[in-house]
Amino acid sequence: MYIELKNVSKSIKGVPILTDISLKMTGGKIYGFQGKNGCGKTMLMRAICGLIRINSGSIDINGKILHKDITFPESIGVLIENPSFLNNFTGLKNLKMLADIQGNVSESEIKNILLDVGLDPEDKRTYRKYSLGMKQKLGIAAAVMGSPQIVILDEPINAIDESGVKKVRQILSGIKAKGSLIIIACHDRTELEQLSDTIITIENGRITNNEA
Amino acid sequence: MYYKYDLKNGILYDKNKFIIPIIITIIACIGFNSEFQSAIKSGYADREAEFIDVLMYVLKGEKPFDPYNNEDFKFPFSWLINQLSIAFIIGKYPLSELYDNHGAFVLIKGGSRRKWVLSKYLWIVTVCIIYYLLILMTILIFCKISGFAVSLELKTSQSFAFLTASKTFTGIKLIKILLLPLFTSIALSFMQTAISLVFQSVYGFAFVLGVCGISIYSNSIWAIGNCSLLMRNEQFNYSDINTDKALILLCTIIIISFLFSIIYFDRYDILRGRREN
Repeated sequence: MYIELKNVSKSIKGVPILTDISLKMTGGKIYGFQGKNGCGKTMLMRAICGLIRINSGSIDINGKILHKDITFPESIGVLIENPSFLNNFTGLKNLKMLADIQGNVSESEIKNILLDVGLDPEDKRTYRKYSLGMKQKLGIAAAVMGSPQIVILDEPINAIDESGVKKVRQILSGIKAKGSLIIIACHDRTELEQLSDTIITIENGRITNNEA
Repeated sequence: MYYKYDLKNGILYDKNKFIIPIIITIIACIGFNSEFQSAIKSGYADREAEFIDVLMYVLKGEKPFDPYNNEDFKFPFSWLINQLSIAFIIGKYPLSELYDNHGAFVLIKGGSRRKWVLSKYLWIVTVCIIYYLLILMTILIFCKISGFAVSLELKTSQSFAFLTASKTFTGIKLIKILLLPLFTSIALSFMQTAISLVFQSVYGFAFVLGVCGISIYSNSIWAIGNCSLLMRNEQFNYSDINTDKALILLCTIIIISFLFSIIYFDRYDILRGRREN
């Protein structure tokens, strides 16, 4: 598994958001994106997910060019910015609905992943009544459900307590061991260094540092 | 797989909104009954009412507006409420996933932008079919209760309570006329969704409202609401909307709106919050 970005640029309404980004990432590693607010981390993640179309350059995902050969990466789990789910359903029901679309995740797997992130699968509360931390955990569960080959998590530990952060670390180690390529963005430099194998610094839409 | 999700999320778990066509149809059936009873009392009812008469009454709309006619113009309230109810039910559901990050989960899990758009448009067709099926079922129950015969042959009559043609007609001709309201609703809903995709949901709804408003006062086939105001169909001698032309026009609008949405969404950047937040 690899992702290779070649000279990727994106501008919105004439404002450059990403400029000439070239980067190669391989499976079994965690890549940490860091940078100030508005530097382009989230946009880069959206570009890799296929949610936005780049103006120039190419994104090669395991030999397939995004938007040419594939619309979205074939096996990907994503949590970008604040998670959002259907308010009237429980966490389990929300994940079951998403699993229906994905088509390859059993109910027992969903229950296990909920337990892994620290949520009770039998909890009858609807998403509307979840705390911020619970919403974030459900977002992580949705992203890693079905063991995707690529996992992209934007600020995954936002609003999560210390015990929850430990669980997130365990989950990331688990999917990394399975060979998945993980990209995370986090404001907490210490946490990012603990989690990541490689830190990539982004400033004004450009990669300024790529350190292992 | 997106379609299964849309059926559950947009219909099965949100079925309360489908009470609207039932209520509107019950009110229209009561209106029919009142007119039919008054026709009987006045001696104008030359035959018994049947299922098809009630159906025509519910879907007929009103005669075109004629500024040179001294007769009072009747406003097609139940027709307008039906069209706006469908627009309301369609609402912003098809694009609701683009308003927050839930859309990213849904889109990515399914893996295809085109299949996502196809599913939303299939959902719209399903909603329109359910809407008209509920109208049919409500009329059917009303006819059973009232003791009216269930037939699909539109017979002639002199009674003002019935919408009848100069000749009895049935079969394909009748079915094509009865398909017009469904196809009009699908065409309007497709245009509503295409406009909502480019601008905002409120503009899509305003567009439907505008087309319906123009259709009430204009007699042109291009004001496509006229295609579903059955009283204005050439079969009923009040206007000259041709069934075949109307069906071709509506199908063209349906295809163009769908293709436009597919092409537009292929190039669409999915950014958080879109323009509506």
